[in-house]
Amino acid sequence: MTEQVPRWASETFWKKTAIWVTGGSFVLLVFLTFDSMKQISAGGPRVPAFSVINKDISYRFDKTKQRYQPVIGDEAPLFGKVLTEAEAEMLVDHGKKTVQAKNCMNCHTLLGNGAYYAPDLTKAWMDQGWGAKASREQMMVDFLLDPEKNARTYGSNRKMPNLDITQPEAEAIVAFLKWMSSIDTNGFPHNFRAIGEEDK
Amino acid sequence: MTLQAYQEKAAVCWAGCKQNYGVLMANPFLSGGQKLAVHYFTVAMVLFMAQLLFGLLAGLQFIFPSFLYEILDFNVNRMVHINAMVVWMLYGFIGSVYWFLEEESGVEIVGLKWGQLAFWVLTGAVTVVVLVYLLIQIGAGNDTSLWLINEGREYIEAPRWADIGIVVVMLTFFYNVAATFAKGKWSGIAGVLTLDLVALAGLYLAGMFYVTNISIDQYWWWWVIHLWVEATWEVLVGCIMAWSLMKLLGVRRQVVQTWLYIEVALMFGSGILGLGHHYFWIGTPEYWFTIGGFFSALEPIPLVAMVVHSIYDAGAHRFKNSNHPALAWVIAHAFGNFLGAGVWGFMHTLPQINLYTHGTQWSASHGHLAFFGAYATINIAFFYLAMQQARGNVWMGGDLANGWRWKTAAVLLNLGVLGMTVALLIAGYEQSFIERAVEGSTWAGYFSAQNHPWFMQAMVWRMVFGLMTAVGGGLLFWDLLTIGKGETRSAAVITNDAVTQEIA
Amino acid sequence: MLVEPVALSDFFLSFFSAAMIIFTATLYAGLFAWARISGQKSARIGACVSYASLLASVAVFSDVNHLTGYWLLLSFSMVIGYALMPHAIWHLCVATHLDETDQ
Repeated sequence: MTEQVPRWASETFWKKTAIWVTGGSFVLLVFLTFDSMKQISAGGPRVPAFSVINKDISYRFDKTKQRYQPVIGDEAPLFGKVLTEAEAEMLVDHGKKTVQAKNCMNCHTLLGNGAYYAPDLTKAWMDQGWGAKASREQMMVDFLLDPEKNARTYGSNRKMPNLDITQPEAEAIVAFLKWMSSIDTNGFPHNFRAIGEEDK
Repeated sequence: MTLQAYQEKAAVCWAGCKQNYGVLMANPFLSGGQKLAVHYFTVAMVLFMAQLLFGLLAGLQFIFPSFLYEILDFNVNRMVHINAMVVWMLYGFIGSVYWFLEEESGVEIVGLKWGQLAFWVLTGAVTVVVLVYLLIQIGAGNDTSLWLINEGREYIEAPRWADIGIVVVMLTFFYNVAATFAKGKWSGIAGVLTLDLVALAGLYLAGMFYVTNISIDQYWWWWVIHLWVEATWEVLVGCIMAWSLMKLLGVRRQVVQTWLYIEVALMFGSGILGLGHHYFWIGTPEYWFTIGGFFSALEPIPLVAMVVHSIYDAGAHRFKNSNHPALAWVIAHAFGNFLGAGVWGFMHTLPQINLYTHGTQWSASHGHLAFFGAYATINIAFFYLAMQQARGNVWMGGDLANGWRWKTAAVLLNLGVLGMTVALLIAGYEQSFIERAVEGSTWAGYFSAQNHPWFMQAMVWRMVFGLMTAVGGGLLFWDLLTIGKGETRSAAVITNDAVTQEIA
Repeated sequence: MLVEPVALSDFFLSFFSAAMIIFTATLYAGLFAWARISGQKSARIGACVSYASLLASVAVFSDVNHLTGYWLLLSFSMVIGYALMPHAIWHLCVATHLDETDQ
């Protein structure tokens, strides 16, 4: 009976097609993954080394690329202390672990991924809500230590809960946020006016 | 009530459970694998209820932010909400595979005892994980917290110890599937299923390590999330559907398997590189714009193919159906998948617009309808098929006793989810407009979008439809427990000649 | 820049045309198949109308999403792909079911 089915509609033909399509796509994905890994390793072209937290980081519209880009500026050590690459990595690492252990991602978004109950943290480091660059670090730490007292609800009544964050954890989170804000995210978020860029 | 009264109540409840369990294990209509499947389906339904409950709590917090503040905060409720969903769907899939494994392979499951043990281990682990989520919630910023409490990565929050447990349980499941087919008969469905399970388990490993660099973190995180939901889960459901079509509608094996391969080619062909639409903004290179854009534009193709095929089938065959609830849920699956994955997905998939919709309620809108349409519906359909068999393959067609129950449940659930989706769509539209585009995603911009009347009203409507969904869910659970009880008419028997012929 | 984002004033058009692409493509596929099954002229006309709406939707979508340069390939593949797909799937349906017509 099966003789009547043309070859291009036969089970074996489509079995082979399925295998080749799947295999081909996967091989291509693996190849692209190797290239992406190279480009997004810390210290690579798109994701700066952890010691970038020693510098001033801003975000500006790039006329040639026609999109917003992170801009790495002069020395601006976090909490007034210049760190080596290894020290910076340890600090950012502690921050990242705290961000995970406190389950930040189920209220906030990081690089736009997560939950939508609280603001995006991608460029939180350079948000104008911190007022001025000089007082920003302290404000961020104070906020993390006691978010209820230092609530920034913008009239929404939505307050961050107290997550028992310690002083070293708070400083590490700030370091992590500062480092994350330096990642080249292809122009996301668009139109974002960074702190200190008000008049530009 | 006194403590004693509570204890008595609990004792009565426990005795009832034990009695029901005895009835299940003595059920003459079910094979060993099918009894194990019913275990999985039962826990799946309990987790579905948990998903609804914690969804309601999280939704309420948008309207009343001080509700359960610092008791069960939004992040806890939301985590339980999405984790319960992932796990109940997996329970449904595993159960469905155990359901048909013996019939498809022609032999008894080789390691049924191990399968039963794995079920209890997994269920125990899930219980512990949820209790830790609820009671301990968060930990200090160190490895111990990630190993014991919470990994803090959306959808795969389960602590590392549980990850390892999940892998062990999945390996037991995989062994049972592969070894049973190896002992009995291999078929096209068996081959696709086995390879898909390898991929599914292997991908989970991509989410099991810690890395400081958040771009690399999210790169691999999407391997798990996207390649599960938009590739391997779809193929797994394809296998379950293929078997159901053959078994329940008497479609010939060769036709079913050819189409299963076609679906695999279309889904993996568009889905694997469609992963690129998650790599626009996480630090990854620009070429993902093109790859993600093109391949996610291809993702609706399998849906369109399905439309043509189902109309062809409807015209060419006259199928008899004696399980109306299951059929209704398959139809809900077709529409839900088309709208949720197809239409809602394509509306915000290109980077040109995703720049503004990324990380807003748009994703929540799309997520609700797509998960429901693509997976919840098909699991529910399978639960009804299972209940029919468990009652002795009784009639579940027209003029079913208490037929209002499944119909009302189906209407409430479908309308509820669709209503939530539309409410979230309005919220997402407003958010992408005001927060993302106009105010450039600052914190002030975020909150001015959240405080906007459109958003606030949308959250109220989401709650209304959420309640509707929850009522529908409760009714569904009740109906599944009781449907077909006392029914004496037997279902039309589908001749399996064609099916068995083909295997031979 | 590899992509030019949608203009603020075009948001609605972008979402709406994207949804219409999937809707009209599906409607076209469905009516096409129905016309083949039933031989009804109205179904065939309906399919043509759906496809014309699909073309219009793709045009609007490409315009507001700034699909220029190689991005135009995406527009073309949608126009051609959605037109031919139902034919291809139909042929596959007929061919895969060939040996059961005598049952």
